Amino acid sequence: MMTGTEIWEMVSSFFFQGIDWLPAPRNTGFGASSFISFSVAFNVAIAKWEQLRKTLSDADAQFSELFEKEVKRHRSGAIFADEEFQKEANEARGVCDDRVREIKEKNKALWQRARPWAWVGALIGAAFLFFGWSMGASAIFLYLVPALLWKKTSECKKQIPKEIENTFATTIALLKKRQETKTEEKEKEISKALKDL
Amino acid sequence: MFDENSDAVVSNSSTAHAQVVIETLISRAKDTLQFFCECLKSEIYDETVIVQKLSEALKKGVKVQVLCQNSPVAKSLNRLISRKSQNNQFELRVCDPGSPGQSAPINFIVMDGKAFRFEGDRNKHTAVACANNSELASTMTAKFKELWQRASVPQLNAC
Repeated sequence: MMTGTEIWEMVSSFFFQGIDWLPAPRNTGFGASSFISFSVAFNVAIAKWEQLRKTLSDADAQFSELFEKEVKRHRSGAIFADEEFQKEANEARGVCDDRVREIKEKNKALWQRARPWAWVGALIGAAFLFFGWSMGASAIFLYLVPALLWKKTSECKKQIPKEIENTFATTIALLKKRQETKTEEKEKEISKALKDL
Repeated sequence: MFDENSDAVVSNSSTAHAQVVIETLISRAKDTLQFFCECLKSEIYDETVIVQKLSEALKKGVKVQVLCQNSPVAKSLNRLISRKSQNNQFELRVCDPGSPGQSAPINFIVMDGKAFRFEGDRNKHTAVACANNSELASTMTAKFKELWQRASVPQLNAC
């Protein structure tokens, strides 16, 4: 039975040190395990960067798609078709759009702030590599920066549907109520006009 | 509103908005279209898109009936009516003088007995439209049929 310390030593030697009995080019800790951990972590890091980039670039399309879904969900097509209400409905859409634009700007700023940190991560990673500690550790640094950023941007992303729901649904509910009242009044008017004809 | 099968009555007063609604009613028609109007105004019914949609509706087999209070103005529709009137697919009548329809200030279009556009007073420009209200649409159709009986086929100048 291995003790906790022994397990930790094994794990840390796998990730952070080379294995002595495998040939190493400079005897600096470069080993098969380090190479495997580097490859895995590097690939995950690249995937994370790609995910981050996509989250930021999809915001536009995401807004339109979500908005159309909301229009359908609230069955509010008739409000947008109504000459009397479409101005207010479009204003509500405009408010949503502005809010989403703010979120997008926030994401963009985050992205810009991320770039130097990515370099810092890469440099720390390179230093680890240079001093022969481990490729695995360097890749973890490469991964950490986008992972933290992605967490932040996905929080922003979650805000978009909430913002649409809050600003849009409230307005639509009010307009729908007014439209219902108008429908009743107009139905009576039409019936009367046809009867009088 | 058509996709949602909404029964909401929507305002539809400006010429541009009216054009869009009329165009939608024509293009969505599957069975019948009934127009009751003053004179098929040129500003709406001479628009290429309206004429085109109407031609397409006729090709689909939609039966179109137009009842005017005065001789129709829209030249393009006159031509279309002249071409399509042989098989009674596109019929035009003008209200007889002194008939109840002749002096009514209203306009309406009924599509497939469920959707309509209704203008209660054309001088006030306060029209409404609805995509799905069979009850009101059938009342309009019944009134249309009643007025149709008191109208006659005009001589058209289809030049």
